[in-house]
Amino acid sequence: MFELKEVALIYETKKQALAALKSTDLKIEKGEEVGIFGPSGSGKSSLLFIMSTLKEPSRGEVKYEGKELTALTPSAKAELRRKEFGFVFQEHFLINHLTVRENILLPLKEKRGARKRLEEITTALGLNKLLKRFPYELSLGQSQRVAVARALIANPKVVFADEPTASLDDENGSRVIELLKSYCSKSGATLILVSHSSEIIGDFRRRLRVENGQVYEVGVNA
Amino acid sequence: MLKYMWLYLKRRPGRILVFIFVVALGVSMSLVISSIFLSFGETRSRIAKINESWITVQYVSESGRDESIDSSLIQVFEDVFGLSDVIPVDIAYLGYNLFGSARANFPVYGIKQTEISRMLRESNAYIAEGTVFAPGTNEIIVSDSFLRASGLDLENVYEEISEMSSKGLYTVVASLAGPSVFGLGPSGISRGKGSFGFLVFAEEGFLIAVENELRLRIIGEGLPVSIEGPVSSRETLERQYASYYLGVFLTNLFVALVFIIALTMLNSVSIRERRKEYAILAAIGHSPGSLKIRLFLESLYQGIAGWILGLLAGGAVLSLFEDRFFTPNGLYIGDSAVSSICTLFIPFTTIVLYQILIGRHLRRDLVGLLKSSEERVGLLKNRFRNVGLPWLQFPLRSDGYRSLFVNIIAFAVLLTVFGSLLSSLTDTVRDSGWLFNRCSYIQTSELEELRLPEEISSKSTAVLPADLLDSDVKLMFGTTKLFIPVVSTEHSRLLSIFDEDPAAGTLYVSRSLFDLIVNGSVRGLDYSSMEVLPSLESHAGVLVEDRIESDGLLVLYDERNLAGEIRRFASEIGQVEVVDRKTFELKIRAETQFMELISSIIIYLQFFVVIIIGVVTVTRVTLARRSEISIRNILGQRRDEIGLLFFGELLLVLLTGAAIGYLLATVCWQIFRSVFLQGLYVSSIVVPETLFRISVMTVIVLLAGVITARYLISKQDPISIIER
Repeated sequence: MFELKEVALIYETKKQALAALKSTDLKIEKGEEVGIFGPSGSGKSSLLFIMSTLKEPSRGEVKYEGKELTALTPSAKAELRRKEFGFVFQEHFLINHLTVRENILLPLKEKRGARKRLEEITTALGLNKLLKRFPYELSLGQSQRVAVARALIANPKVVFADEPTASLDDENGSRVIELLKSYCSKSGATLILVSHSSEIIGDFRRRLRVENGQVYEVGVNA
Repeated sequence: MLKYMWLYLKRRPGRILVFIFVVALGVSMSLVISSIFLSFGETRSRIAKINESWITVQYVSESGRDESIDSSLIQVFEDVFGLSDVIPVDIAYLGYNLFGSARANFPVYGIKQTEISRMLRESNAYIAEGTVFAPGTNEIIVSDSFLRASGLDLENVYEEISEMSSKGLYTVVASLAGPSVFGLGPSGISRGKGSFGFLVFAEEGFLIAVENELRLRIIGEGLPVSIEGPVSSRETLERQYASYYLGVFLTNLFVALVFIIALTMLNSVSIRERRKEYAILAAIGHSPGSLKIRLFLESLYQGIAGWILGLLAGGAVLSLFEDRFFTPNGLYIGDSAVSSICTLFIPFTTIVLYQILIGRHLRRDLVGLLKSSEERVGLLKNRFRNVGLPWLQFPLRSDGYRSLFVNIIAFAVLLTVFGSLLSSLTDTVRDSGWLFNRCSYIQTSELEELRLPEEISSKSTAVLPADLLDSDVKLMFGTTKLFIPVVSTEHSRLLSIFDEDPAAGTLYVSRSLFDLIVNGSVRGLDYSSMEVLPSLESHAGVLVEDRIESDGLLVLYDERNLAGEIRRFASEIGQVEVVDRKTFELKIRAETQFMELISSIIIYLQFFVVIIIGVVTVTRVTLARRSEISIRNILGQRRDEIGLLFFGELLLVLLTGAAIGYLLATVCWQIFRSVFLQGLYVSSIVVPETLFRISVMTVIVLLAGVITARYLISKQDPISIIER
């Protein structure tokens, strides 16, 4: 599904060049559950952003289902994100003046069938009673569940999660991880989750460690 | 405190300098505009004040002095105080063009040459240049300001350019300087038709008593004369200039309001951005009171800096104006000290409003204050919770567009009301000339000998004897003339405006002239009855009499270029006066050019301020929504989709604001007119011009907003929200 060849991300300043991600080769197959961990500033988020088209690599090839992502126009990238990718971040990034319902439906271009899908997903996430609320009327845990619902509403083929539990307590954190894993296992979607903690991704089938911009394969759980 | 301000200045130099600049711009504009308007008032009041030096007792006569009135008056004078302090005069009036701000007339007294020194002594005037007039000639002495205003040199022939074209009526031989504006000439200056009477002098302090005594006696005698002296002069000044100064006040108020709104919006932005700073200061121990004082002093220093800068800039512009505009045009500059103090209104009101805004924020508890720095939701959020239309969600549920919305309403109101206020003068002159689009009036003292050439009479549809009645229309800034032809019942049908035979003694008027007369805006018309004639438009009217003492011809035509031929014919034979379409074109140019210039400056200044505020506000709104742009982009919304959403929101906010502003202004204007401006001609809401101005304003702000939004959207990196 994803194929990265010699992908690097280098921040160049006048005085020096800083490699956030060094020459990386990586393959991720469809339906895989990939956990990426490493210390802060190691380059794990950069890797996720490059794969999700949010960032351009300095060099190398990034292919998604055979298509070269760096060759896409900004509009084509946006279209790809809308149709195939779902995102959950450390902060929920909900839009303040939209209700929970409107926030969840934001990625959907085609509103046909949206009501049924909304009902399914909000029931699963326990958000039915919060649909008319605004984000500033929610707790952190509730907000993050809304963010998960928004990520999953369009039935994405890939779910990118960047530190989704960092601002949550243990209970809510575990719940969010479970929700993401459950969706991916049921739908056959790929889950790529980044965390600074190896514990959170301890039971992921495939785990990658990123350190000083280098990606290491840690192991595959049965 | 100063150190803290210095730090803030270093951190936000743009904001402080923009604030000071806008205060300075407002103060200088206010100073210059009020000084210009007050200079017209000053010049007019100098003309009016001539009656504070003596009492003028006068009557109107078509055929020289009336011996019976003269003898009755002499008897009264003898009875009251003896005849030593009375001189006989006849009076002509010359038009004084106040550089396109309507006209004023000043008197030229026809007196014996031996009385010149007395007239000069009584009025504190002196001959600045030239020599005294020669008896029995058409030589006159006029005030030096009139010479400058008319662009004349001594011994040049004076021509009245606006109302009647008369060649060689007077020769100006000397100029007068002094506190009053009047002229002197030989007896017989009025050429047997006009005002005649006496000037009555009295010892200082007794003039008022003499005037009152004369008034009592003359009214008792039932003589058809008018008396003007210090008492009536003061009353006339108060009556005439109440509206003038109301106009000056309103003009300045509107100019000031534009700047006060602009400055308050700037302050509002500043308060929002600095809420966190206030919260931190409060957290480290500053009481709300000390914070308020700190911010009051901060705004006071900025306001004073802007005010001083504005006075300096305004003073520089004024001195330039004085050299290039006031003095060459015969205008006396008003008291700029009063204008300068009045300009304090702008910074003072802004500071007061700033304190009110600050007070609202500082009343919150500390946690509330800290939280408020993150607030982005509006008061109406709950009311519009269920709005499903994307273009309405942000405008209705957040206060992001509130400042822009308020601005647009306020500016639509100001543009509408201000445009209506100033357009009244231009419109009246223009509208009064409607009837003369298809006719010319030729006036001559030798009508029997006047023979129209064949090329004119053959092209005209009718030629009929007529008289011309003129009357004053009272405006906000002065008066203007209205010309009404007087025709006999016998010839009236030639006008082709009557469906039925007109009734003698009836003044037939258009609907708008009817309204003007009913409102008391028109003075000096004499008629038995009045009737609205639907075939008349604008401010047109015709008086029909059984018999008229005609001293002119009304030439009707379909070809408008015949007016030019008639003018050429009139100038060839001389001593003929013509009123036609060109008369009004000249009047419009002469009486309204400056008003139009001033109103254009003010309107474009408003545009400038609106555009600045619009761009600043839109940029701020978009900047505050950078996160939203990023989120939408991450979730797959294309930039053009986001741009369209923002455009739709902006369009809705601006259109709604402009429409509300226009409707609000319409209502306010009608109430304001009926309460404050009764008896004055002021146009109603000027629909096409105002709508055009509001539309241009809205489109410019919209364009500025869209360009800014698109620029920010195109530059916005979706990842920036996460990296921030």
